Amino acid sequence: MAEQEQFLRHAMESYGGAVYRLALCRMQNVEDAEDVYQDVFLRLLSEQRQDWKGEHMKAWLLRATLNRCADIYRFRLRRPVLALDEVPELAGPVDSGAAELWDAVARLPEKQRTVMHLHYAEGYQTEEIAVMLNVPPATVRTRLHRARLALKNLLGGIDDEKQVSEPDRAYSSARQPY
Amino acid sequence: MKNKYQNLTERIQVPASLTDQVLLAAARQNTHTTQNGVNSMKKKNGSILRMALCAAAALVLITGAAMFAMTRPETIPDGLDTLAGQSGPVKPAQPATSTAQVFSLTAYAAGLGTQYPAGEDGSLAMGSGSGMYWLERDGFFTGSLFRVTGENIQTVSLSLDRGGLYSYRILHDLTAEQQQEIREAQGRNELAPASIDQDDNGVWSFQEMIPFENTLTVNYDQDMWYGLWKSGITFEDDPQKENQINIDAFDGGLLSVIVTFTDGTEQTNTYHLHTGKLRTAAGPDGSLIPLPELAGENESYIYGVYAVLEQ
Repeated sequence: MAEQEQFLRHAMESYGGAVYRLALCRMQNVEDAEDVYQDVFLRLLSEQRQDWKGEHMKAWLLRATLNRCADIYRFRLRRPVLALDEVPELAGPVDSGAAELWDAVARLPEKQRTVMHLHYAEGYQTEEIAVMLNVPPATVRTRLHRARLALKNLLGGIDDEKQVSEPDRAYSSARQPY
Repeated sequence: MKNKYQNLTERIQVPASLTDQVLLAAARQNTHTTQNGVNSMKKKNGSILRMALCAAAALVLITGAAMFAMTRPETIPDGLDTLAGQSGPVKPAQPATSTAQVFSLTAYAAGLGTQYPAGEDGSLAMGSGSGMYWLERDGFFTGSLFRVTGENIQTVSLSLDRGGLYSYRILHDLTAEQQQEIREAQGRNELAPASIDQDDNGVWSFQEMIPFENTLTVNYDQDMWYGLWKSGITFEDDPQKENQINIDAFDGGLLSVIVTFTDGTEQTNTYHLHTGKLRTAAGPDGSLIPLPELAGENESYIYGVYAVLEQ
C-alpha cells in the first residue's frame, strides 16, 4: 500500500500537470478534466510495469489521457469553451493576451487543438505526436499547419507561428519544416 | 526559452484536492480488490454482462431497486441470466390474447423528463440532442427515450431490428461515497462515463445508461426509460452532420414491444421508425419539443426519430 501510494504520488508530481492540462485543453470542462485525471492515474496502477524509463511514463499517461477524453467525448450542438479565468488553481493573474490565446486555442477543432497542445505546451515533435495519436506524421503536420492558420485568423494579425512559439529553441530544431 | 502558450499552460496547476482524491480512490480500489480476491483493474470492457451486473450491484445501494435484466446472448454465461434479487430468469409469459389490458409508449426528453406528445394514431416523436452521449468506447446513446406505460404490466420485451437499446434512469441525491462508487465503476469500464452533476441546490445526480444488444426482456419498472443506441460512432467535424448520420442509422427500423400483464395475457405493438426533421411545438417551459411528423420547408425542426404504430 505504501509503495503504491509513493509510486502514485511520484507519478502525479512528475506528470500530473501535463495530464491535467491536456485533459483541460481537450475537454474544456474542469469537472471532466478532473474525472479524466483520476481515471488515468488509477489505470496507471493497473499497468503494473516495473520498467518505466525516462519519458515513457509521461507518453503513456498522455496517450491514456487522450483515450479517456475520447471515451467521454460529449456531443454538444455548441461546444462550450472554458474561459481561462474559470480555470481553478491558476498561478498569477490573467492578462488579456493570455486569455485571448487560451480562448483562441480552445476554439480550434479538437484534432487541431490536441496536436497544438502537445507540440507547444508539452514540446513533443511531429513524429512523437504521430506515434501518440497513431496517425502519420504528415497528418500531424497538416493539423498543426491548419491550427496555425486558424489561430492567425482568430487572433488577427499573426503572420506565422513565431507569435506563439518564438523564441523556443526546441521547436526550431524540429526535423520537419512546418 | 518557452513559448507563449507553454508559459500560459504551465500556470495551470493540478488542484491539491484532486491529488488526494486520486490517492483515496486508489486506496479504496486496493481494498476492494483485496477483499474480492480479484484484480478488478484488469477487467476489460468486453463483457457488458459484467458491466450491467456490477452496475446493478453497485447501484442497488443507491436506489434499492435495481430490477432490470438484459439479453446479450454472446456475453451471458450459463447460469448468469438472472438478476440480483430475482429468483429466476425473466421470461415472457406464454402468448395470450389480451382484450382488457393495453399499454402504450410515451416519449421523453432525456435528463429533463419532459414528456413529448404522441400523435392521435399512437405515433411518437423521439427527439435528439438532450441526453445524447457520444462515447468512443460505448457507442452512441441517442437520447431518444421512451417509457412503457400501462396498468398491471409484469414484463416488457423490446426488440429492434437494427442498432441497439439502452436503459436509462437518473439516480438522485448521491452521497460522496456513492459518487465515488460510480467513479470507480467507470474507472473499471463497468459504467458508461456520463458525468455526475450537481444542481443549484447542491444535489448530486447521475445518468445511468446501460447499453444492450437489440433485444431486452425486463421486469416492468415504471420509472425506467429505454432508448435507441448503436455501437460505433461516425465522427465528423460538423456536430450537426454527426448527429444526423448517426440518427439515420435507425431509419426504417422496426421496434417490437411485447408486454405481458399480471393476468398472463400479452400484447404486442410494432413501431416503424423513421428519421428526419421533425416538426416542433413550444413546450411548457418555452423550449421546443418534437412532434411525430416531418416539418415543412422553412419550419423550425428537431432532427430525430419518430415511431409510427403499425395498425
